[in-house]
Amino acid sequence: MTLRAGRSFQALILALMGLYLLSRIWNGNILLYINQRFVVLVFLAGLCLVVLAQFLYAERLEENNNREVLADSWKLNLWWLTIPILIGFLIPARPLSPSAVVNRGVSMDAPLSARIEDTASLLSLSPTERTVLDWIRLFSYSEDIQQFVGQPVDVTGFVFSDGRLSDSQFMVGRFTITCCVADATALGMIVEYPGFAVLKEHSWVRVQGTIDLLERDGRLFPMILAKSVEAVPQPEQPYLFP
Amino acid sequence: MWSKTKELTHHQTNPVNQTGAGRLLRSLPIMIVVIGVVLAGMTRLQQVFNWQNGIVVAITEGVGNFSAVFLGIFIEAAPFLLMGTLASGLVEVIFTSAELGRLLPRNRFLAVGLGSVLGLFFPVCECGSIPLARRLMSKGIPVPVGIAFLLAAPVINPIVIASTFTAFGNSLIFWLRFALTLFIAIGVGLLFLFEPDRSRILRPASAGTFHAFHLHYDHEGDPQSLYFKEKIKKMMVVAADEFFEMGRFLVIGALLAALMQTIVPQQWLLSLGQGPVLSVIVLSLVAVLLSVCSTVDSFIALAFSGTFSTGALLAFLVYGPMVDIKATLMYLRVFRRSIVVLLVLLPWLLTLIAGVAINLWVR
Repeated sequence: MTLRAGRSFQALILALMGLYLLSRIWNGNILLYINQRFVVLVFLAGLCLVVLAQFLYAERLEENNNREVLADSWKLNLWWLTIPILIGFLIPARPLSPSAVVNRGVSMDAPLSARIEDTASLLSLSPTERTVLDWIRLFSYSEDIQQFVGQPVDVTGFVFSDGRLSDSQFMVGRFTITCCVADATALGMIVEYPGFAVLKEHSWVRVQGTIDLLERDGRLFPMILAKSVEAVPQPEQPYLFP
Repeated sequence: MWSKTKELTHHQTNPVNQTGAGRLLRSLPIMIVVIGVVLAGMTRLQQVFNWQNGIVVAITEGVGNFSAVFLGIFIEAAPFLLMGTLASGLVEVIFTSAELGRLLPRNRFLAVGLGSVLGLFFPVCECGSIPLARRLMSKGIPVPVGIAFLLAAPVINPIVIASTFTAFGNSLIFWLRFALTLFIAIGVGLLFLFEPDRSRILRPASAGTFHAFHLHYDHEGDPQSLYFKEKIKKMMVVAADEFFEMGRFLVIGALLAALMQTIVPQQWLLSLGQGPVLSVIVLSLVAVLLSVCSTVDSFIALAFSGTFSTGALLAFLVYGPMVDIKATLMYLRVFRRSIVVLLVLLPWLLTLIAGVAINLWVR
């Protein structure tokens, strides 16, 4: 491979990578991979890659570039860097599936990414608008959790069972993403629902009911007394961003 | 100029590459690309024909999760890597080699200390700090200072300080994280004062890219004499070359971390270690295997805080940013192998000692 060909390949790879990032931002799929607060950074990186590609493409015409290059490792780098582009373009963009919860474990309480101790903005939301994340935050940082008992709940999440729960209980969960999918953690709320046996594990449901408290190991956790549980398709944006 | 090129090609056809292992290593990326295309085709077909066979669904789901985690890490880290390589390119065109060394304080201890807090002015995470550290060292920054920068910069920088504060507030863990990191970075850095011969620490300015490039500009003398436009061009090409060189290890590291996350259950890892000593060992290894960026690891540590001791959390927060899968691979590119072993083991031992001590005596 001559240096000229090598530079052209580099330019091609950088341009494709930049366009990949920009196209994911354009169609919104970027949020399947990273938290929204990093989107601007990725956008700048995408632009920067395209500009770099332009510089390299111009560079290929420089003198000396007909020389036969180059170290094996130099050529190998080209191959390695095509892998993210291929995976990105070829494998259909899908969010982390709920089945991943088996490998990742669940948290029901305080270990929350964004520690917002100020619950005022959450309290001002109408109870049925709160997500699983909002509820768990409220329970972790409110002084008086008795005030929530009896409030109506309407949350969407995926079903998963936990050996520690009784037969009529399951958990409804969502993945929260602080930075990128690699740090996805499932947050879950316990749901009391006698008809649980008919629900499919890891399927998406909308749970409506009222809040109650459950005591476990000397701590109080929120529990939903479900009036209805209906199967729903996976939401557009399956993750919650703290 | 031509003789130099010949030397280069000669250097590359070293016997290692002729052995079976070398050949395997070289065909590895191509194999991964082929496997990737096959699996991608399969997931497409599964979607088109809507196969519901249990095994097919399990595989496509696995592939989906794997690619989501891989792309997550790559997309998240690529901008930081790019920032690091651009900074490195900038250093390359602004400073002549002697200049940068002269800016440092004369006192060697002071210089190493300065190196460890340099991250405050170059906010890069571990992917970016390695190319930058190498560039600084090649521009006359002494090796001990470079190493202190390398180990400390991923933690001692404004972004990470802010994210750790968000996660832990004004707590013991917050202060100890930075104190321990500084202590280890300066300690390991000072150790390198005993080896003044930098050729025994650094790998020879790595093959191919740089030389191909430097040859081209060498005849124009030192960077000061380049025109502005030339400088910009040189900066861009240096940055791009380095992006490819280090990007390779980012890709490998992200592949391994994604594989790990798809196959090994976290609970299983975490159930391995409890108790003041084992918990520290386990969580520091988890940090290596997870390979998450230093900007977010404090949030992940928070998720572990219910089950793990303070010492273990600190080990996770201190050791993880210094050494993880992708960083180790990048180290191998910059340093000689024996030095990489030292850079991986020494901070680990220091972290263990500190973590266990905190578990036993502080709380």
